[in-house]
Amino acid sequence: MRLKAKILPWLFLFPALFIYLMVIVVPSLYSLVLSFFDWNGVSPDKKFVGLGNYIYLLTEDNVFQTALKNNLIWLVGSMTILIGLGLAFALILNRQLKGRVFFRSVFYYPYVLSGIVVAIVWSWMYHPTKGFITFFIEKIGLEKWATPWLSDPKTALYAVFIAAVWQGVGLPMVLFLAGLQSIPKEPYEAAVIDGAKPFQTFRYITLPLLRDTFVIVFATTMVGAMKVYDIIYGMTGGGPMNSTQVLSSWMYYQTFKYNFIGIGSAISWYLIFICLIVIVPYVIFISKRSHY
Amino acid sequence: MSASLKRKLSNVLVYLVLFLLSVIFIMPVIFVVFTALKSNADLSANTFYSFPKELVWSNFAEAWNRIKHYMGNSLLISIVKVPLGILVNALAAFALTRLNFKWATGMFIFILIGMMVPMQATLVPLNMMLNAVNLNNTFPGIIFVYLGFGIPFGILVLRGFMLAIPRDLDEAAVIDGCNELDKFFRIIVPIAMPAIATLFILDFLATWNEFLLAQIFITKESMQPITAGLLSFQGQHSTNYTLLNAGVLISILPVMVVYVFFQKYLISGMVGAVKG
Amino acid sequence: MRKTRIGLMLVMIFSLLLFVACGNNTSSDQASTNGSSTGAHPGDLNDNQGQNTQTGEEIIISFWGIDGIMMYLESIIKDFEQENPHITVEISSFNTDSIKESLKVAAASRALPDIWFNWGGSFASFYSENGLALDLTEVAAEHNWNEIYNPAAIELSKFDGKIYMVPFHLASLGVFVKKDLYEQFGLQEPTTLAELEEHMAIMHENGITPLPVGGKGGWMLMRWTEQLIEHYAGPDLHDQLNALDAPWTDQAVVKALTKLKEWSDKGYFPKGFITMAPEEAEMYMYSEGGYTLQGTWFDQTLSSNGFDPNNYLFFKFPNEQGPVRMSSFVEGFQINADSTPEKQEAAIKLAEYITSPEVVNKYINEYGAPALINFASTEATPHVKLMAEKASEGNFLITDQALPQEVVDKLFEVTDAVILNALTPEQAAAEIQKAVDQYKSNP
Repeated sequence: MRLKAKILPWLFLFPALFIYLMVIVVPSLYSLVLSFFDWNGVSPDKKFVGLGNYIYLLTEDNVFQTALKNNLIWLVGSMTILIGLGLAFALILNRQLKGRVFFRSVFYYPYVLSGIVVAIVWSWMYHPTKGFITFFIEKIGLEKWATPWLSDPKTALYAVFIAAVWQGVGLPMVLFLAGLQSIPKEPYEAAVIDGAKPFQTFRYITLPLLRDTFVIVFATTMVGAMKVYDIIYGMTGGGPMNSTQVLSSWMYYQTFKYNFIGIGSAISWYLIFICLIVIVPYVIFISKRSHY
Repeated sequence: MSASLKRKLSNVLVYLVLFLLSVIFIMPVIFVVFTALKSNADLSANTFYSFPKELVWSNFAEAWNRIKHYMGNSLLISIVKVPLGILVNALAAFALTRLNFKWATGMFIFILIGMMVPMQATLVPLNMMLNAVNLNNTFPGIIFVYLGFGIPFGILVLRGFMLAIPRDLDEAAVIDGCNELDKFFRIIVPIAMPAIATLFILDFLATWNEFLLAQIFITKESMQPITAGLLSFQGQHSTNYTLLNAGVLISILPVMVVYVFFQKYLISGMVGAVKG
Repeated sequence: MRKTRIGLMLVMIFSLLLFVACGNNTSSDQASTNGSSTGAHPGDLNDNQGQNTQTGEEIIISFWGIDGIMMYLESIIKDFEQENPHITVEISSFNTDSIKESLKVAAASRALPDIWFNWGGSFASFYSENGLALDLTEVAAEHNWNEIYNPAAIELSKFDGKIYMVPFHLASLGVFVKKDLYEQFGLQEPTTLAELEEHMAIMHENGITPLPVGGKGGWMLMRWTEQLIEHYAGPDLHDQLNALDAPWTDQAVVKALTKLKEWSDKGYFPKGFITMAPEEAEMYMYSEGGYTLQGTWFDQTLSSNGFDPNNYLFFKFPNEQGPVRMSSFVEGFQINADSTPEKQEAAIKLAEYITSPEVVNKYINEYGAPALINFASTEATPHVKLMAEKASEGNFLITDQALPQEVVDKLFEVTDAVILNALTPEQAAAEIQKAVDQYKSNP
């Protein structure tokens, strides 16, 4: 009986664990090994360079540094604006409003478009002569602001970010809505009797009860921000002057364009490492508290 | 000012904000519809937000003809992958939340780390592995890979929801004489349905829109998914934007259907789950 | 309830068994062929069970192409299979960017197809240099390629003096302009750069974008950059620059970048063109016009979008050199060096069939610019023949295939920087040279 109880969890875990090991763990370890080599992927001469690739990226590769900075900007933007908006939409649409199913669908649907499509749609919105945004800005008398947003290294990343918010806000919204739906009514009724203000009920009832949802939303948003790729690549191609390169696109360049598999793998592992130090402590903290 | 007037005013304000936001959210896709209905001459001569000079409905027929077999492939892959993935993940999440598993937190973190692995980094070793077992260019092969990349997120979602299911229910089940597998299928899965619905929507979408892995592991044209089909409108030297836009509109229909169907289920099922 | 449960379990067990079964099945399979067919692309399970490739009766070869060419290649390959009933071709088709990545992944995992489409220059040389593509020099001699293919195309298919590609397309780039624009302003084909610039000024004054260029990805602007370098440097120095034998800090490079900057400041490029998609920039050519540097495929692009190529004029960029060289590149087919000899033979046969004069002439309306010496001309692509003739007067390899990719991307980056005032042309030239030095120091 004891033995059975010990083996049972492993049996339930087995299918997931087996697939996970084969598809993710083994290939990742392979790339970790490669990150210590100078190799073009096919040639027989494969030179061990230790941490050389990692050091090269940090000290000599300017584009890597830009990419890292861009990812961090994207991360901060996603954690504040994207999640904030997602939560706000969810809170509004969780109320008894007429047509809330319609509004939910409207805010969610851009999320079903693939990044490549969103990139085309929004490049056209921003188009300096034929785009709607330019037209609109000129119409309301702000000609000065009708600049080619995507072509200015100072604004390009933020212009793409706006498109990404448009596309991505549906995900946190749906997750928060699901979380909000699972909160029982009783605490709110008690709060009303106690005369609590709306903000207080939000702060002391809603937020704590959304804890598990927050784990999911934070984790997916952070990972999404670190791995962002296709929408930026589609809208700016990493330009102008490489000012919108991100880690994923730079890894792609190094691996598949320049044939520096080692350097590409090292970028991957920087990415994994950054995610680790941001997300794991948070998840451990939360999951310790959430055990019943 | 009376309380009811105040509430009415705030309702009006909320509707105003929602309406404005809706306009912003819908507009870009209106332009996609416009483009899908334009001729190439119209598109190149006029702005991207202008109404088509002449409605070219045949764009849709032509796009449909070119992408229908890709749609079929994607549908097949998604319909097998998504439920199978949910089953695999739910079993694992059950083990992590319900079976007094000693390594539960550690195992969860271990699996969560997988979410951070960039797909590009795994392409070469995965390709080698699939080749070695002759699963390259087969649906089981790509489904296996998709299952793998879906595991961290799936377990993250299902574990969160399963943790929130009260333990009293398990004890009731034990009294009823259920074994663990019964408990899983008869108690936990029905209660976790809202989470499963959420996951179904998101996973179906992720599978439907996946491109990077598909282009490496499914190279045979007859088996390629819809993402490859849409890209085929982009030639080496030119892109057929009107057909591409028509194709995009057609290609999102299945995902929209899945969303509409499951989102109802999501909301109604949720309330029951908590009361359950 | 119970039924669905059992059903679900069955599905799961079945799928697990499938994976395990596949593993067993093929590990023995692999052992028996002793890895000799590593290059062969494994088909799905049915194919492998149904046919035995070792008897030599039936040959299956895998073929990778790109979407743009598959439109007509599919029926060419069907013809080929009919003429050679013992050969079956398994076709895979990719997006332009996807094939580059997929080939690299396949190369690294030793799973390249038997025959694949590729661009010449630095794209093809990766496979030639690393022994992945078959050396075709002997085949070329035996099959008298020099009587069939354009010598320029054969030259561009070489790496280290050996031929590694069956030439398919020979693309050369020249200037296109709408005829009615010339009638409207009473212009003549320019013979000097100064004349070309005069035209630009006239167009600009009349509200027409003289140079519709989309800067995203860098390569469309590069077409102007490289012709300006050819103009200022002359053929010898330009070749040395591309071979990394002359310093990029040369005045010719600086002058070329200065000229680009001048054009940009005068508003000759579309507003915000730096991140505009090249395809969007091409839309200008369908409506208002202007000058564009396009290749032999442009006729095709025009007619497939519903415009008549006969409404356009073509001439060589007036770089004032003798001879005026066009920028060229070759597209071709590479053969897997690791495939079995039977498969290689079949693949070569296929490639030669696709590029043979009979087939080319039959499909000339869609084919684009063949790499042949002689081929039919057609109304649908009126400029193709003319461009091929002009290109044989002299050409240089297009910059993004002549230079290593790292240097190419650096060139694109600093060109953007010059136009955006972030670097002076001198600083930009120095940056390119820095990238060249770094490339050279990397063994």
